[in-house]
Amino acid sequence: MIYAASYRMLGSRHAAEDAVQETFLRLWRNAAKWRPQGAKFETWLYRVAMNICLDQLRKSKRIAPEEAAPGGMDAQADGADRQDQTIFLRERRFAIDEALAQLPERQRLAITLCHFQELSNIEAAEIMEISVDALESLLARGRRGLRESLAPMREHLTGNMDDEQNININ
Amino acid sequence: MSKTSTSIERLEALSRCCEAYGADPARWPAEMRASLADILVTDEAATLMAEAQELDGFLNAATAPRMSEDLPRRIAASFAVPKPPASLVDFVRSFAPALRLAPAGALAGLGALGLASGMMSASAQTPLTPEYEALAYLDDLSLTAMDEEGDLAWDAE
Repeated sequence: MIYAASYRMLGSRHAAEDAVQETFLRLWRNAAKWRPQGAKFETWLYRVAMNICLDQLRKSKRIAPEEAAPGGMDAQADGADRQDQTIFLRERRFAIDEALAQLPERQRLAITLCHFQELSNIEAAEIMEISVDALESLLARGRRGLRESLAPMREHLTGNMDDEQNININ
Repeated sequence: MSKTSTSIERLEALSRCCEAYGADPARWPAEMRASLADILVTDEAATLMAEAQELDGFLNAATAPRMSEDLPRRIAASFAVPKPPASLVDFVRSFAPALRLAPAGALAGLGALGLASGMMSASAQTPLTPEYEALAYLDDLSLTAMDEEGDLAWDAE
């Protein structure tokens, strides 16, 4: 969960793994200082991880999503249809990662916590140390930004959905 | 308040809900889900939800790539696990060659893995120390490395 959230924030597997490692090291070093005070440990864990991601982003200024590497499961696709589908899925993921990367950090964080990590609005607001109203505003602006970024590619992004479902079923 | 204005207000509430949380009611705050349940079947609601549904579909398709399988071990090896009783050390050492782990790594791994079972039996009565909470999440991370869905899950079939 921490890895996936870090990946969403940083757009790179390598950077996300570094952030996860730093998160656990920081937790380990500061564990004795943690006082529950009503907060769940998970909330603290996320807060530490997301602050590390935000620090990394400020140092590197902008994230550049890495293109999905060829090989692995992609390379196992057999037949022209599957290869086309593989390329389509990879391009779509890259386009969405790119659109996410263009969002302001706080909007991306709100979407990461609520959509991808499926945390409740109360938990996400607690991690971000903002009110639920402020969180909802970030979510709405973030989703609007994503829609605008993805609008020019909308047809292409939805183009192969039917084929994809067929492959999922078979 | 007239029935029409109430209905308009509720559609506006639905619109705000979809804008923030998307079209899946399971993702909405519980109170919104309950208060809007009966208007979801209307045509107006379907129109409002369609746009949000498309973006949800795109986001759901953007799965994160798998993390390195050895990341949990790398992390566990990088910090000092609370010293276990001497008898446990001997027990773990006896398994270390078979596990192909350095003793320190084996201790960390076993600490993390053993914690899950410890949590199940003790969590209701005794709060875990933060160190062990961290280990529990590290254990969870190991499972994530195996479970994280790649972008071509169908290909594995």
